Order: sequence, then C-alpha cells, then structure tokens
Amino acid sequence: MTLNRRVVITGVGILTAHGMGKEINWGKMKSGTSSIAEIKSFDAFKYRGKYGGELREFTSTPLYKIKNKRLDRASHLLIHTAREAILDSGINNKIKDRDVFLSFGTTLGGMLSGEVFHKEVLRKGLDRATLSLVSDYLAHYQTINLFKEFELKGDFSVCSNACASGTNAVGHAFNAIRYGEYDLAICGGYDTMSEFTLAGFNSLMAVTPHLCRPFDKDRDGLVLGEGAGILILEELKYAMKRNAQILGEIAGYGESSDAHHITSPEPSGLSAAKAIKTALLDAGHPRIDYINAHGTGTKYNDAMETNAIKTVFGKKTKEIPVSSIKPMVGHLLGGAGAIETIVSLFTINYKTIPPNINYRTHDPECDLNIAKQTAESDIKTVLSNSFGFGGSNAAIIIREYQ
Amino acid sequence: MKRLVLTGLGVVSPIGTGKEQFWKSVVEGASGIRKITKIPSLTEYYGGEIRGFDVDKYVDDRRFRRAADISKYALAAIKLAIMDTAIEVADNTSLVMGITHGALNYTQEYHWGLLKESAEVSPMLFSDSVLNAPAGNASICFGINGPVHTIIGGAEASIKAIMLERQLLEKGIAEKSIVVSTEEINELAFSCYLRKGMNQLSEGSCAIVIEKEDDVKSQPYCYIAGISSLFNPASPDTALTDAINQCLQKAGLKIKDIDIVITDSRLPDTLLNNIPIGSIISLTGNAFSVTSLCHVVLSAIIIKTGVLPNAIIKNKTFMSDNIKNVMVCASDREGIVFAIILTSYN
Repeated sequence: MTLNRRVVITGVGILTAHGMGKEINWGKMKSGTSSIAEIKSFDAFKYRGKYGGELREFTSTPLYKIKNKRLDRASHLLIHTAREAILDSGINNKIKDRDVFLSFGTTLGGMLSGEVFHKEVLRKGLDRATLSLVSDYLAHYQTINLFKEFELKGDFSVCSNACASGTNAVGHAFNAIRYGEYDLAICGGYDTMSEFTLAGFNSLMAVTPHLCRPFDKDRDGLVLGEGAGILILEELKYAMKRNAQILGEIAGYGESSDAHHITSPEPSGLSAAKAIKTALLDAGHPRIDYINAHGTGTKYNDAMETNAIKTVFGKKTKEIPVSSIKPMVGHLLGGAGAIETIVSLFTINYKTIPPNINYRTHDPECDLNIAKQTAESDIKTVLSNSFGFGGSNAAIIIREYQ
Repeated sequence: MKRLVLTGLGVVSPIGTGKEQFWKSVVEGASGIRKITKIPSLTEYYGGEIRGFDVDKYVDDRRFRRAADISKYALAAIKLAIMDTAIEVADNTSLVMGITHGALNYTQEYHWGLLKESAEVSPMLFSDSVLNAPAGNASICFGINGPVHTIIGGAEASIKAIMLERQLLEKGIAEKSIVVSTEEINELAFSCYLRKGMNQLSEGSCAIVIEKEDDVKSQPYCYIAGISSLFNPASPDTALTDAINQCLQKAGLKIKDIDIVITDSRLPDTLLNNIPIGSIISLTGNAFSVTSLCHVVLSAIIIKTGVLPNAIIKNKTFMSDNIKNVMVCASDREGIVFAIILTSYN
C-alpha cells in the first residue's frame, strides 16, 4: 500500500453531555467529570436503565440557508458541530470554493422524527400523520441538510455500522484524502437520545441501572449518550498552503468483521485484534502511548476488548494506559468513534490522559493498565477502538504532527 | 492501476429470483408490478412485491429464518452471486451494502409494541432493525471477516458501495468483494411515498461480486471501467454533467462510445446525443438503491449476451449491434448524481 499523502486534522467540533465546544468538553473529560443524569427528554422511568448523557443546553442551531426549518434534532447536532469544526479550522471562507468530501457515521439518523411520526399514525391514521416529519428521517438526509446549509459541493458517504460508524466515517475520509480523491473532508459521527434505542438496549439487558464502569469487575452495562464529533481533515500540503493550524495527524486505520453474532462480540477478540493490527501496520507500527478504549461497560465488550488488546500488544499491554470516556458522556453510538478520535487528539495536544471514572474493582478478565486518575504524560500516538453490533470492528491511530 | 471486473450476479426481484429468471422476464417484458398482497392496508395499490420467496432454498442456517425480509433477500442474492462466480469467501473478502430504508417492518413493529406497552416485544425486533443488521447477518451467514459496511443513501447508495469496494480492492485491503443492496416493502414508507406522488415501489435485492482482473478464475461479465458520484445541491444539472464527464474520463471514453444508457432519470438530450436509454423500473418498480444495482446487473448481462432487451429500451433508432460500453447513471432533484460505465471483457 502506498501512502504518499499525509492527512492532518485542522479543526474539530464536539458536542456532548459535557456541553458545546472543545474547551468545556476537554476540561470535563480531563478532570473526570460525569455528565450522566436521569433522562428527561422522554419518560425513561419504566426502563431498567434510566440514565444517560443528554444535551441539556442544546435545542437547535441557527439555520441560514436551509428553507425547511423543521429538521430532526440529528440534523441540528450535525450542523452545529460541523459549523464549530469549520470555524476552528479557519477554512470557512474557502470551503465553498473547493470540492469537499463529507463522511459521517450514524446509527439512528432522524429516528426522533420517525418516533413522532409513528405516534401520529397511531393517533390520527396513516393518511393524516404529518408527512414533513419523515423528510429528515432517512439517515443520509442530515448530511444533505449540511451540504445545503453550507452551500457545499463534492460528495458524501454516510455509513451505518452501529457503534463503529463514527470511526469508520473518519477512516473513510482519511482514505479518500490519502488516496488522492479529495484534499478536504468533513467527517465524524452523531446520534440523538431516542426512546427506541434506550428501550432496545434495555431489552437486551445492555443498559446499567447504576453507574457505567468500563473494565470493572462489577460492570453491568452501558449508558447511552447523544451528541456529535466532527473533524476537518486535509491533505498536508493543502493545509500548509493555506497556513492552517495542524492539530494532529491520522496515521493509520483498520477494520474487520467478527462474522459471529448480531449483538455479541466474538469473545476471543481475534477479529477486533485484526482491525487493530491493520491500523498499526498502516501507521508503520508506531509506539502506542495511550489507548482510548471502546469500553462500553458491558460484560462482553470489555472482556473481548481486553483480549484484543492483549493479542496485539502482548507483554507491552501493561505499559499502555487505557481509559474509556463513556462513563462521563455516555455511549454516543454513531457519534462515539468520532468523539473518541477527538478526545484522543486532545490527549496528544494537552499531554494528559482522561481517567476511566467509576472504576473500583479489578477484574482479572480485564487486566489492562486502566487509567484510574487523570495523568500527565508525553502522549504522541494514540489508538482509539470502536466495536459495534453486527460485528463491526474499527481502529484508528492519531499521532502528534511533526 | 489494476482493472476491476464483475464476476458474479445475484438477483431477488419481483420479476424473478436468480439471473436466469430475471433476464428471461426482462427479455419477455414480463412485469412484476401487481397488487400488493402482503400488507392489508395496501391491497388496492400496485407495487413490485416478492412472492413465494423461501430463504431456506438459499441458506441452510436456520438462525436467519426469523430475520427481517430485507436480510433474507440480501442473503439469497449474495448466495446466488457467490455461486455464480464460485469464489471462496475468506478473511480478505469484504462486503459493502447500500441501502435506503433498512428493516422498516421490524422498526415499526418494535416501536408500536413499545407504544402499546402491553405487547410482548421481542429484543430481536430491535437488534434486527438496526441499519447494519442485513450486512451483519450476511457477514455471519457467509463468514465474511474483512471490512463489512452499510452505506446509506437514495438511489446512489449501492453505487457508493461499489466505489468503496473499488477502493478496498485497489489498495489491497480486500482481495474479493461483494456489493449488495436490499429493500423491503413497508406500510408506512409505501404510504408516505404515495402521498408524495411516487408509486409502484418495490422490494428485493441485488448482489455483485467484484474482483481484480488478475485474480479471476471464471470468465467475467465485464470491466468496471469508470465510476463517479457527486453532490451539488446548488446546481443539479451541472452535477450530472460533471459526473458523466468524470466517469467517461476515468473510463478513457467519449460519450459517443457509449452504446446504451440505463437510467431512471430524465437526462438532457444534448448530453445523450441519441443514445438508446433503458430502465428496469417499468417491470420491477422502484426499490431505490436496489434499482441502481439492478441496473448494473442488467447492464452486465446485456454486455455479456450482446442482447438488447426491446421491452425496456427507448429510442431504438440508434441501437448498436455490438454492445461494448453501457453507462448506468441517475440524478435526483437534490443534485445527488452518479455514473458508472461497464465495458465488455476482452
């Protein structure tokens, strides 16, 4: 594989339960603050797990170009966060002049509109339910809306590979640039808090009624979150030509599939390890200073991820600090991988590892070097893992720009 | 650059399952548009419904008997495509699925079950309703360990799936690749599209196997000579012209070299220059992303057999006796466009 073109990150936007913007998000991630609370956007009381990472401060984003103002919340999350990333990159004045590749991951798309439409169908009948509710339901329409709002041209790809979607989307944008198809990409992932999803994960007994404790012996499930993570990727020479800030570099990407079970990961972690190995090979086998784990807090994921990491790193496993940010902001599904790529970048930029909060009891099945406290460290290269329903595995490597 | 060839086809369509039955219906002009029977509220409407389909004929694994129809159609189409080319699925096989709606029937059933509260709702309805469930089921069923992706979009989704597979093959990430698209008829979606003025919707699945020319063991159907996809909401017409020109450039062809265009879109006469046009929609109905892949399958068979099926061709005056290059393209009102050119194998 020839990798002649380097791909750098020149802007980020992040929206989670912690708040809007990179300063507040990194501040709370670094200090190990939890923004998980009782879910308020619908009646979650009847469910086993009723906690989540909702965006309490976010309602909608201003729309300047889109005529249809009645967009699904997912479109608002995406447009708001993309706007932040574009501003952060300083490319806002030039973005309309260039062909741009948009690559996003989502699991739900406009599911919230779909839920309302379903309710209207039951109440009013099929012919009287509000048709405009479903115009933004399909999972690629949020990207279409983003194109229109920013008057972009180019192409897009929306992938839905469950919880690996966000990492896949960044990986696809990375490939599109390094293989010379585009010089500029806006990529990442997003998802909303939906009752449909909470009920679904509850029915699978995957949601904790307590605290989310990745890699802890007493872990008993995940908490859901909502939000978006967007990155601006550029080909290095293109970024340098416009004197862009360079926050970091995407160094490698790998993917694989378990071919095992629709909801359970393949327990040995061998398939997940294949994705990690591919990413490491792609990046030229760098030393990994920190692993931002998928770390959902479910029994099966965390044990599998441990096996995968140990398979890849062997004796060096104990040297590499590992943490998951999901206990702080929840599992953002299609947004998770993108948010975690951004947080991985922050660990390089700020030389600090965010803690794996709520961790109390060592689990021999998860014998990793869990970062229990915030730690300063000279982080140069980070591995971020994502694994999803359907056996989707993705790994991405972010490194300091030199 | 290694040339990519199309080596296997699988079809589950309202006009027949399997490429032979599909092609026979196309040549005979046999329509699959009939009154809907599956959904009680839609029995007065017409659509392209799959009837008499039994997944057990194609897949031995009983786990998939309860899967959503959208998954079952995909499993059958993939199985047929694999059998058509006799590839061995291995670690380096990838699968990319292009879909538009996903498993809407399970989504609807699960959500209504929640709303009614008293109903017993199976967790399987949830897990099989996620957008990548058909792709996940396919990877499990056929043991596909390489990259497996679900690309969401309208008619262009399956073409974007081919583009992603092209990248995986050309960069050596995958050695063999399967592209599939699948849809199922759903009451809510059907009703919404009817209210928007779209009718004769359909369901089914198409799958193709793509390999590098150097690796093939069987006679390919055709080359994938060029492919392009663009989005320009401010100027949809410009986007279409640009996509076609890009595609022609990648294929090293000029528009006069194209023998037939397969499309369900209205294209400007100035662009086409009297090239014959065909579409499968009059026979099968519209299944969005599946229809685009169905057009690719149709084009591959036209190239391989050299037969132009009269029933689906307009503008027959300028039909060539020697079909070498077929372009499949489409544009929508939003400005999302694609073009792909298939060229006869030497």
